[in-house]
Amino acid sequence: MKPVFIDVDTGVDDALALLFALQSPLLDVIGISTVSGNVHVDHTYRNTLAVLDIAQAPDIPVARGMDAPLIRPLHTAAEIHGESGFGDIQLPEVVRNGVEEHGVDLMIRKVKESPEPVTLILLGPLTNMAVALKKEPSIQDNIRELVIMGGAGAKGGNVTPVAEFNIYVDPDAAHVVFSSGLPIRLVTWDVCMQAVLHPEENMQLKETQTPVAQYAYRLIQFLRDNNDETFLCDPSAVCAVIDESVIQTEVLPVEVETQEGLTRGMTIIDVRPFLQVDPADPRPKLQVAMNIERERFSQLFIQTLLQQG
Amino acid sequence: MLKARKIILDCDPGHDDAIALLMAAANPKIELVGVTTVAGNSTIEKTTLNAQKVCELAGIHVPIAQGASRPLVREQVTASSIHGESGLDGPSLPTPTKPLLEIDAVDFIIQTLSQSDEKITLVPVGPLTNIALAIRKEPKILDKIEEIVFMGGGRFGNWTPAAEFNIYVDAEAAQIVLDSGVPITMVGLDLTHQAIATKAIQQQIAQIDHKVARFVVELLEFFSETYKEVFGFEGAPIHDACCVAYCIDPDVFTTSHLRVDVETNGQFTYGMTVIDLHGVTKRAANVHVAMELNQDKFWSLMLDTLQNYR
Repeated sequence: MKPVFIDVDTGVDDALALLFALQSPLLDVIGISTVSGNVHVDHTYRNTLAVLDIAQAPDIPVARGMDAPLIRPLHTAAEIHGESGFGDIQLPEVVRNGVEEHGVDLMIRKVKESPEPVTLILLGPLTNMAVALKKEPSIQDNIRELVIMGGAGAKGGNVTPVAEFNIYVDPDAAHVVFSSGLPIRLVTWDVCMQAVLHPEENMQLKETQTPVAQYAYRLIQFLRDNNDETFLCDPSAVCAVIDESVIQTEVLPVEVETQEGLTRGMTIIDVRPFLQVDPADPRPKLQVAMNIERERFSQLFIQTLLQQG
Repeated sequence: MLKARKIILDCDPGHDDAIALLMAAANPKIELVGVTTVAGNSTIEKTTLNAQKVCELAGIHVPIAQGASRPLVREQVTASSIHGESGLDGPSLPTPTKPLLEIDAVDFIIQTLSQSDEKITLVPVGPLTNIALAIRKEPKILDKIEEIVFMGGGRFGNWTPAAEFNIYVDAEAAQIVLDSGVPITMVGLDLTHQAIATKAIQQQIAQIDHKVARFVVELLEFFSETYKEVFGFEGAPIHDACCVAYCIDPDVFTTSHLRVDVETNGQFTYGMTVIDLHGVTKRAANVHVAMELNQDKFWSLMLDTLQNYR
């Protein structure tokens, strides 16, 4: 099993990503940190614990992390996710406890303690990751890769015409993380827009009487668009770790716009056709997801969630 | 037949500018009222001389006025890697015999529009400096502008990862134009990269037995070389000609009416056209963005127009 540490701002689609990761027999979730993003960290922390209860997950440490971006005031998506982050969906009373440790410290400790290099799945603004890298740079030695849901390419953004929410909220943190030199796979909004689940696929969950399948069904119903389709954003990033071959990537230079203009938080992905990736080019080179094989993804997602715990 | 559409071509020749100019002068659906020049692909002296030379070679008799020598705010940037030292390297060209207008491009635009009974279409295919200056100097001309059809911008860049050359050179001018309130059609890289003059196209042009067609072939040979060298393209996109083709036949490409603004602050995104494809800004649309080129229409229109030089 692959050791993974997950950073989330739960959020309905983070919840689905967590269920996907927790249910996967291929992943060993060694810890979870929470961050302010979709909603304030007080909510994302609580929501995360509730999701673990639903999944009847083993005793995985969950910690409350950074409550605001590095430099800027917090900008949430409460208008989409509701104040609690879960819209009108009732989560059960939380039974389990999180850890007292700060999210950043939990991340640092878990990475350092792991006998083999850890993959970090980062599903919210990159604040916790950036602070961890600055606070304890030596964790880089035991990180296999970072898989990030964030950024947008030519198809455009979701919070501004060119910026995706996670990077928009804390572009400075994204800059720190991207320039770390760590291997990074970036699952952009463009690719998330391909990761669609059809209504009949969701019916398979409805018909399965496990708490995970039942909850996942309701969360997916909540996220569906006017055409009854559901775009599974954060789960795509988890998919990239469970089965790399489902998402095709290209190594491209990526920079983050940190100036407070029309393009704040834009990931500038250099796709110009003439570009040879020159080793002397100082820009961060990321593995940028270009395509997700929709059917393989949705199959993997549904089958994993249908598994009995 | 409909009356010819009056246009002023504002250009910085430039290989693809030269083709745009040749097309504008030889199609009966267009009345080319004048040519104005701007610094862009190369310095103002060179782009002006190149415009004169192209007109001399093709026997185009229209007023030519020299325009702005540098962008509104930033330092000048030129594209000699693409267009060569002269700004129009490759073909040999005659020495101009006709003088420039005494007035500059900005005043020529203002005078021509002010004195015209009909509305006139402005077709800027270089940086938007002259157009911005004219709008600012005499805002009354806005009422006389039929449409501004400009080449620039796109969802991706060529000069930087995010910015196309013309807008990158003078982003402030571009924002002034986008805020002008007149009908605007933006012909960006998304569109012009569909207008690739392949070897097959070049051969078709070569079959026209006239010096203008031979000149176009020479232009395309040089332009294809640098485009391959610098941008890794097979065959060069003839960006600017797309604007003229649209003035001849608006069905040559599809458009979407969208909000477009220009980034004038970014560290990595200066000069980017921020196109609100999904309406996330909830701001009113201000630009018709060119989307999909009708290949058959475009190339036959171009070949037919070049035939008119025989």
